[in-house]
Amino acid sequence: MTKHLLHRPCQWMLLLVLILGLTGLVGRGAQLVTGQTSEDPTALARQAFARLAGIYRSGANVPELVAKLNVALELIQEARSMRLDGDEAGALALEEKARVAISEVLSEIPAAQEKAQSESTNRTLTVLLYVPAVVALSTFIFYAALRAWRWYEKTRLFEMRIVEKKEQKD
Amino acid sequence: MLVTSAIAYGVLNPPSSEQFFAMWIVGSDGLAEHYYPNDDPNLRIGEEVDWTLGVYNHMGSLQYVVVRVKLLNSTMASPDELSGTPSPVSPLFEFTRVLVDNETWSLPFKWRIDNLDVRGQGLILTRLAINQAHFRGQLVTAVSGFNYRFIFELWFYDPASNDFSFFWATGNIKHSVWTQIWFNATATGPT
Repeated sequence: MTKHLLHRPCQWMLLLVLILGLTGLVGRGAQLVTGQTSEDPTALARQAFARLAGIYRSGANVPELVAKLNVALELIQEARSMRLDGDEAGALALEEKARVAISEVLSEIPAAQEKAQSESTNRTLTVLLYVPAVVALSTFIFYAALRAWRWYEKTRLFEMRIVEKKEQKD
Repeated sequence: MLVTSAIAYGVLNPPSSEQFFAMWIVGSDGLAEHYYPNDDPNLRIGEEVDWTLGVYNHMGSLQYVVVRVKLLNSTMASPDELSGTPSPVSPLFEFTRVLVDNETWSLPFKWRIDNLDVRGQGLILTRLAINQAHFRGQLVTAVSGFNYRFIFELWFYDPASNDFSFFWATGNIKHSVWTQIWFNATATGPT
């Protein structure tokens, strides 16, 4: 009975190790499948687009990367046409070209993101400096105009008084 | 100070305009006319049809779009704008592109019927060429070769669902973009 009880934890341990091992294998398999899917040019194009859209959302423009991605999309389309005509080898070659082009786009995205971030910071700083400057300038112009108007009114009043005094002397 | 600040804010942050996509088809001369050779929609085998599709992005952001080309007859279901449902027919061909905001994309759509099979009252389109792509099989059937149509659906990539979507919504209203052109086919060669 004691021997049997001692055996049980061992069995449980063995079962646990087996489950963990299987989970690890399944996870690795899933990783491999994901890896293969991400190599699919269409999936890569989606990934590149999502990251480019993020750059555009931050207010920056990267037309050269968009143009490169469009060239890759055209290659994918041509590959589809070739496959329809039964030219599997030609289609695979074009898909490989597209994959390389998209990989290039993906590798250039971090630099573009950094550039976009610095541009965004510059824009914010410009706005922060520009708004108070415009406000201060317009306030000064308003103040100066008011002073000028008051001076003009006073001058007109003095002129009228001088005329009155001259008339009294006559 | 307050007024000036408000004006400055208004100038720097203009209100966003309405978001939409637009799609159109023009004929061989770039106008909404002369869609068929000799203006005759009864197409013969081998007759080349020259259209240009236009897509305009006014969504206020970068968009990854797909134009799905579907070949239907008059009895097959069209897309439903109210529910935002595309036509259930599988696309024959796709054109994809990434468009920046306010960009117009023009794409040539040259096509011809390469073969038709007669089966009873029906005329089956069995071979078709679009640009450089060739399609074979029982593509679509129409009674006496009347009322075939090309449907062009505009889909766009939605990063949230990681898939292409046919409609977008503003409030409770669904918006979708599609267009179609009808034609007839006659089982004779060009004259």
